[in-house]
Amino acid sequence: MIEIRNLGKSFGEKQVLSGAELSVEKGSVFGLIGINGAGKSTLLRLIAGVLKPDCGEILIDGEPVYENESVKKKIFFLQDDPYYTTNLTARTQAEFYKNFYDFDDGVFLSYADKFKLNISKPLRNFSKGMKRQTFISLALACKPEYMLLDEAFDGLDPLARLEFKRGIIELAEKGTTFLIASHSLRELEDISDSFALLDDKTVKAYGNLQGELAKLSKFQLVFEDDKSREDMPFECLHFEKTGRVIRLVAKGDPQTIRACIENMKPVVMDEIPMDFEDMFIYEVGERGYLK
Amino acid sequence: MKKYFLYYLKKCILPFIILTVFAIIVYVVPIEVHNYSGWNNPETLPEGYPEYLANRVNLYYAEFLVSVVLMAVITPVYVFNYKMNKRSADMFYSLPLSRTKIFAVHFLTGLLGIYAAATVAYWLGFAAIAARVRRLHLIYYLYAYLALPVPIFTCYSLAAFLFTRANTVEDGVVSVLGGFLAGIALMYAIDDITFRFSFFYSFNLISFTPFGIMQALAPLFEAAYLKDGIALWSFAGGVPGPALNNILILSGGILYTLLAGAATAYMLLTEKNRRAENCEQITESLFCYKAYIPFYLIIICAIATIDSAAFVCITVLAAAVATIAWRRTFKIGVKHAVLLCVYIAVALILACIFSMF
Repeated sequence: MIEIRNLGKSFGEKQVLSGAELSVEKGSVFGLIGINGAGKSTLLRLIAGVLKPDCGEILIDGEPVYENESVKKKIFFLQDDPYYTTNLTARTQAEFYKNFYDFDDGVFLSYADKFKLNISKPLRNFSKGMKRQTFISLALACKPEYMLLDEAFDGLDPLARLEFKRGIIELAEKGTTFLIASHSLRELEDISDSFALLDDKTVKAYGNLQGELAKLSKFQLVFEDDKSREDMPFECLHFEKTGRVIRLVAKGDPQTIRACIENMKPVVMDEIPMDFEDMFIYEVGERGYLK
Repeated sequence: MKKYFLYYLKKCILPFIILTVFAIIVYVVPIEVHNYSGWNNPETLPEGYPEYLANRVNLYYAEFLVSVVLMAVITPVYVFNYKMNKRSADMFYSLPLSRTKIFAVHFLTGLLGIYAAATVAYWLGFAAIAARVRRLHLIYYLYAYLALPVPIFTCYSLAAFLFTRANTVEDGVVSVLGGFLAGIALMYAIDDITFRFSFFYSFNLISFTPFGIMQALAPLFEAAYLKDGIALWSFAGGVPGPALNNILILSGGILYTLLAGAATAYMLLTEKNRRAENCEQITESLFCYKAYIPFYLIIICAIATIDSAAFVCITVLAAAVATIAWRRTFKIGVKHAVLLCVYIAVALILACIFSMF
């Protein structure tokens, strides 16, 4: 289990994280979302023990992670832009990781084969996606208990994404915990069981993904008379009006919200399914991002 | 740690072979190409023999010294560049091996690499000299070799310390060069100033460098020449100059060796707190531009007389360029512009004062 308590980190005068609290259950696939610069990568680097927290603590299975070899042995951190030297091949990088992890050659070779990677070819000759595939193969072969993935799906083609997601689910079923920072919310929605939204230097919301999605309802409504946001007797995350057509996202118990709307006697009432991306857009959008 | 050490040592074999070839080129090749005809025949030796022979061999030793110093400066750039790049630092610091252990592995590997390269070059050089010159008492080469770990450790540790104070490879190289030459620059300035005040004393300037201690080994080379069956060896006796220089070489050598030991201990003790977020950022360490710009500006201007105004102008211009290189922008900001002006003013005032003498 990953526990983060009152975590703070600043780079010089710039505060990146402040008072962040988070718990990630063992065996879960945890999606870390947030706008650019929200602190997702910083949080992953802190959990990986790359950065030292200014305040607060990060505990993995009850132990602090920073400079703790036994804890770090359980973690694999895959950066958004992994490091490789000019002549590095997947094979030589595998040899490197064997010094630190119980590296499984079989897993590595099977993924390399699935991705059709030439493991003896220098990575500099690979495309961005192929490099990503290589490092994913290496990461999965390290078989850590905690896998920290930054921009996990970046550069992968749809088939490779599918294969990667299968690998994640397979390992998660065996008990591996995944903490994935990504902007590919549709991919995260497919595999994540829980999530955290980073915003305003802290964890604004976190919990069970389906549970949080169930708290939001999206409707398209038409009323006979003119209605405004203030007329809605529930919390509106988003309210948009075009002529008499209203599109809104409400937060709260879906049945109660539905009943409230029905009481207002709309001419048209369509409930639209909410997805992770909608949730992110409305949660963050309402805070004024990019307005 | 042992597993990674062996892996890293194996990985470094090729760079170390290159390093060895480099040392051989700098040290052994000049011996090989020199014309030795007459060295073993007293009648054909130049006037001043045996000094000629001793000095000639010492000159080769100077080339060996250069090769060791260059290796000590180059090696930290190779073994510690993982700290200077955000991507590599992220990867290394996320590994299940403490920063201290990673540092220790890289440090030790670099040290062994230099020692191995120096050893090969040294004994090849020995073989080259021994094959050509019969009148040298070559046992002293063994003594000099046994003492070699001290200067190698001193040069390498100090270079490693200076290099790792910086946040980028480029700044690291500046840090090493500036640090290695700081002592010599300071003593040269003192030398020059004392000359103006008429109590000139000619210092052995190399003593004030991390590699100055290697001069203490040079007499062992010179001692290799036997005169009337007695080795011409006395401590530092082979170094030209007044007796005080011998003390300076010894004290400089001890000082720098102690500094190297302290620097190594400091690096090992503080490595765990190394901040990964500083990678690729502007270097704010005192062992780089921040201190070197005022130091060298004032030192160089202080030793330049008013009739070398061009020299002063070039120095001031170099300080401005260094500030731009440090801040990585032409917009160095008010604070740094003001500081630069203050340094220039102090340097010019000192230059004017000293020019009066």
